[in-house]
Amino acid sequence: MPLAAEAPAPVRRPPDASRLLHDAGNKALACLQCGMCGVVCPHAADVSPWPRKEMLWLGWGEHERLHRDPDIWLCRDCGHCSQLCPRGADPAAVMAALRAAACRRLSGRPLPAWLEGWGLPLLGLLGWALVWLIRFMQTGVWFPVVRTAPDSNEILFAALYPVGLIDAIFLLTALIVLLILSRGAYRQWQDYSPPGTLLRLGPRTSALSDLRAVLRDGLFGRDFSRCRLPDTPPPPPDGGACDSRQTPSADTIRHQRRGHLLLTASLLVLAAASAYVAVGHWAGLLGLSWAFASPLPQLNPVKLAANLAAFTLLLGVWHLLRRRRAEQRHRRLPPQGRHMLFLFFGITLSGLVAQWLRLADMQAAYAAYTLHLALVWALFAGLPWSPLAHIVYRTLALFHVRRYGRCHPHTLSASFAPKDV
Amino acid sequence: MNNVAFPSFASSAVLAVLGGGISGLTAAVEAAECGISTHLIEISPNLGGRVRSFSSYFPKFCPPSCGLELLENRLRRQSRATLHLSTRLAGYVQADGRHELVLQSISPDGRTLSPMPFSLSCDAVIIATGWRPYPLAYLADRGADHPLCLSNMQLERLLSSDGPTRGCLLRPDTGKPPQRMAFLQCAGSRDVNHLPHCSAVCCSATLKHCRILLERLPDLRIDVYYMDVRTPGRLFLLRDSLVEYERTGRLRFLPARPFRAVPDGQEICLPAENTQTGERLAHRYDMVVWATGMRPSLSPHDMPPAATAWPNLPENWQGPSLPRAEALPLPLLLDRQGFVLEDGEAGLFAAGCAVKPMNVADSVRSGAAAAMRALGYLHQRARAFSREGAASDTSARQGRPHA
Repeated sequence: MPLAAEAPAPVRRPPDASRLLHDAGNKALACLQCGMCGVVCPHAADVSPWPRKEMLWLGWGEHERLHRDPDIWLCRDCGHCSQLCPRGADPAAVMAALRAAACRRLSGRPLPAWLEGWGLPLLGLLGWALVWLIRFMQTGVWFPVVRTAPDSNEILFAALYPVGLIDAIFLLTALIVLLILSRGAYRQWQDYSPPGTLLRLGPRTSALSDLRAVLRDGLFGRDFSRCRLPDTPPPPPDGGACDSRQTPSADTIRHQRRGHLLLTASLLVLAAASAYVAVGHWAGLLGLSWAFASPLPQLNPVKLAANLAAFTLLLGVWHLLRRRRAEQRHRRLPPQGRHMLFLFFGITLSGLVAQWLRLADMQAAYAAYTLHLALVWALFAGLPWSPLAHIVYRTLALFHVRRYGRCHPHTLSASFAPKDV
Repeated sequence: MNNVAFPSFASSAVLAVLGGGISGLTAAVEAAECGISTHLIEISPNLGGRVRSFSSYFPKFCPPSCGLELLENRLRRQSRATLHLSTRLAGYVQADGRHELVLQSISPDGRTLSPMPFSLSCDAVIIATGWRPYPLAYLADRGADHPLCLSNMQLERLLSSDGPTRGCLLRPDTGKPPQRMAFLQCAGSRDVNHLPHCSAVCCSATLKHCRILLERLPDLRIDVYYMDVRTPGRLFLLRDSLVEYERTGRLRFLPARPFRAVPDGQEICLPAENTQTGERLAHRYDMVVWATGMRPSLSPHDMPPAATAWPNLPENWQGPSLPRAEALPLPLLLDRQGFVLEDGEAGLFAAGCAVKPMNVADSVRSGAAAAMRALGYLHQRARAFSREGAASDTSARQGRPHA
């Protein structure tokens, strides 16, 4: 590389450059480019492996290259690189910060600072409390009940929040979120596509089968099972000071895999149950004969499945929290992940409590239900900027890599001169 | 020696030097030649420390005895220098601004011998306790405990003409000279999990080893895995003598850091990433040399028991504040890695690798510099005492004089 003879180009500093360093734990600039992280990574490719080049680009301020780099999504956050890094530069935190920054950039205007963390759930809570107040002014009762019998005080959530209102609010939010995400996906695809035409060699595969393979690996956590050091040596016979104290244990990786699997499966089941209930409601609006209204009876198979999914969701959150606790002893984990887990925990718990209080005909059910609605809305509304956005962005990146490969001229770190061996 | 030539304070001042390595030896010789009564205290039975076991100096490639011999001859001519070999510091008392050292003779294996400990009263102390190689056993999680792996200090000893193999390097399993060798730089140094500092000499030592090995073994090819090659001063000239080997391909410098030595049949494989080209490497080698770094002898970390007669700090010591040098019974402050922070006002000076990692030439300079600082301290102290004596101020004798 020639020494700088001409005046250096002015550094284009994106607005969140310093935030990126801060999110990465402020240690990324300690990197000495020794190249150990790319070797210990169980996923890294043989050609220009990550995360060394991302550390270098971050240090150089090469944000253009970072934007075009799909490798940040190929990292599964197992943390081997951070725990073996001789400089303590925490490459895994850098990759996580880069992913969060990519979410912010692709999803467009990031949330204002006061809305991050618990701001969004609080906003949702205020909104739903306002709706409650308006409903009170309309109906004149704080806690509407349904008198199916003279002495029954059966609670009906639909009497306070009409299903149509809930549908309208959530469908509008979901529509906006989908628009934002699809715009982000379009931007991401543009970033990854090299200029000119791409010649694809090798056997031709259909886009559908590629997408199916990506989803299969992601949904069932097959990727996480590879998060293990290659050629791990046997533990020393005397169990001395030189055991594998620095590498993530098999337990941690198992927690990550199970937690992810449980969370994914539960969310799919819960989404299907919600869709089922919504279809029944809309059928009622259309006057179809097979329509049914919520709440479903407790012994309805859909209701049972949803309740079961709530418990597996809690189990998944527990697994992931265990993993976070074990990993946080060695390295920095982004706080967004913890927020997300607590949000899931709050949603599940408030939903279950609202159901139990409703069955017990206690009026506190309305408060629990309001909290539940607020948290679910916050989950939906914050999705493009939360770790959940990886559902779209990681899938797209993996799909692009699977279909078109990951190396294009923008991501190569240097020329590849053949060397004798 | 003629006393008249020396300043008056010198005749009464006593200086103790802890450690008879090359820096302690230099400090003792320089101080004694200035007329100070000097006591050189060495724990082992011979002078010269680690330098004596080296194969050769760099960049001149002469045997280490040539510099040591000169110093020993100068020491021998000094009537004012007293040598205490096989002696350890058993205790310390500070009284009347003087240092009372309790010394004890020991056997070569560290056992205490009779006679009883004896006391030595001195005005200033120079600490030149030197360094220890970072043991390969601490790098066992990177595969350094394989029999085909050796440290650079082991190689240095093997290459020495008075070493165990008379300077021949052979594979321990087949008994043949190695064909492919690798040097791993910064093994344990510049690593937050091991030694966070740069040990300053390993890069030059590796260049020296490469030249010796390539000269002696015509079939040998060497790869050096480095993060960056640090050769301070004019030591980079060493690289010039290696250009010919680089041109013929017998020597390669690879900017990579293998994280583990993986045994592969009769050989060792080193998976790494070449950070200039971004490609993965997995070359195989007959022998792998780990360029391990320097720990200060007073390091509170992981001191192997029984290797020294000094008492140890508790294991897993991780104090956030500056530790006391408990390995030596002296009121010394160490930095976090165990290097000495010298206390000039108390008359405690430090020289050589006890201060920071340095090569032999710098250790000699550091020894002479510590002797100069000690002389200045003794001079100030003598002037302060003479002023106080004139004023017959008895209270000042209890505190230590201002330097």
